[in-house]
Amino acid sequence: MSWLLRAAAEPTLSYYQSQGGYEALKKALRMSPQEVVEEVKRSGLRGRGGAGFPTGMKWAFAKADPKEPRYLVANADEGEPGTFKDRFLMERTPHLLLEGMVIAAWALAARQGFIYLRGEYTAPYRALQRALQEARQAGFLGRDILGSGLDFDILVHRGAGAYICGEETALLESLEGRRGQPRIKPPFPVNQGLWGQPTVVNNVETLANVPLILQMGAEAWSRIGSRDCPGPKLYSVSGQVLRPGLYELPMGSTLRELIYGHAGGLRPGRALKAVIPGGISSPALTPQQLDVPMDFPSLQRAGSMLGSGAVMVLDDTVCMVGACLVAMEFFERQSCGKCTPCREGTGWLRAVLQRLEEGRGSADDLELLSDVARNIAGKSFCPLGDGAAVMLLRALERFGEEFQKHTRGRCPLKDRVAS
Amino acid sequence: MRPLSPQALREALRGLGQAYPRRQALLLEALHLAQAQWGWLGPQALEAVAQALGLPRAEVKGVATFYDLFEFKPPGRHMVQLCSSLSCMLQGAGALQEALRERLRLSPGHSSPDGRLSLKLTEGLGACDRAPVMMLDGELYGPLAEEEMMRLLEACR
Repeated sequence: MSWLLRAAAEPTLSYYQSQGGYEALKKALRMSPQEVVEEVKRSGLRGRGGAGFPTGMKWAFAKADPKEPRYLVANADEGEPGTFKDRFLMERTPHLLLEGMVIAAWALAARQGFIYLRGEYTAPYRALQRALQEARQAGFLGRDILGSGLDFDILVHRGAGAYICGEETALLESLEGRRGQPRIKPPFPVNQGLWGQPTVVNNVETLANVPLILQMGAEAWSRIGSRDCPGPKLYSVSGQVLRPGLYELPMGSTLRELIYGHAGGLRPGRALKAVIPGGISSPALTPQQLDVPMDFPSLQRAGSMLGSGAVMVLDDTVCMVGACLVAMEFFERQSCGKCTPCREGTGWLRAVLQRLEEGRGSADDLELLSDVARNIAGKSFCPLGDGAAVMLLRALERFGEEFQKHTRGRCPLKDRVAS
Repeated sequence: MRPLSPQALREALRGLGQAYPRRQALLLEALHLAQAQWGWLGPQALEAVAQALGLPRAEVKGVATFYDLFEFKPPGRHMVQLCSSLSCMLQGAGALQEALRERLRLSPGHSSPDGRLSLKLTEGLGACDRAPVMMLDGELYGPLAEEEMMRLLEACR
């Protein structure tokens, strides 16, 4: 099965066009901008960056704001540990992103687009620059695109190493040349984004779905995947499986199918301990939850989230306290420092996890962990602190016995995160 | 190395300027260019960026220090970025960190005593299927075994 990856064999424009590339753009330009928005709405496409917001609705909100100019931003700050789908898309099929952006620009009447790219992504940077040049030469970008009257171009804006810039308002701050600290919402970026103007921020994978929707038609596209959460989905699988990799499946495929059917299952002699289904900020699931469909509503009901669709598999050699410690070290380092509960709380949680892992903890520490975590969740501008807190609270519930053991002495597993 | 003058920086940024309605949006790109030229962002480099964009020095420094990829002391001749995210830790990145410390006396945020290598732990390089991964001077390597890592680093002069 191949939708987003159908032209991923070569990144060139000629190959992309040989696979039907830029036909969706031609089709879109024969429709009115409003019709394009309606088509995307009808498809039921939900944002692939993590929040799952309906894309067509976001576009309609931005269009309803009369301020001009409007901006379009591709969020390519793929920083969620475990995630590597957008890197793959940009390196292997960059024109799919560009085509999606030009269609979105037509729908939104945007004249300037930005790709906010992680500073660490050197190879995608080169691939995008080459693709942009090809697209300009072929008339898919620039003035009066394919005679439609649309003037639109795209600039790649390089980030410089800050996880928080994946959060859309922090991204906008960073794009404007400031420290990447989130803004309070509302106002939302669709009304006051870049330089106070209406701005649509969409994830790379979201925009990559747009040409598919136009080409296949919303109805056909929405027959892929779950009924209430349609479309293809790129799942990044990493951790302790035999075949880690990127798998494109219909949205709502189960974890069991993904881990055992596609990623080859676990190493011989190992048993499954936990699965993190949507990047480091998503609460870990137990082996009893493997039949959950991997889509936004189902994972929410299961007490986790789809996030970026980054599945990390942990086998029985891994210490959960150690895994939470690695995660918390990350959150502490990457908290932007703006909100006290997140800035101070992630540091506290890390310190308590560390002494538990080293066998210096006490029975009171588990209560302390939940107390601090509950005082972070819901008390900051952006979801970074929430992710850290909820991830830990669920781990305490689901793997409580292992945490208990740590209050009585050194970690029962030799290394904190063994392999 | 010949320093990048504010004029040269302005010239290098000219092509990008039209996309942005405000000059400050060029700041990250200017810092990237300055770091590519000098290898790090010392007082001279920050001053050149501030002048080129007409921004207060404090603003330039404040923004630059927010981001992990900028260097504020001279780094070693080769930059080693070792991923420390959970996917890589699950596949043995901790042992690689240990090997760098013990065999090359290289610790995170520092340079080796001979000035050849600098080590940075990164928060993910977007290649978790190839864990554990390392980026050496912008090129990705993974899945990486300890001996292979040592060979790659010993070949750096």
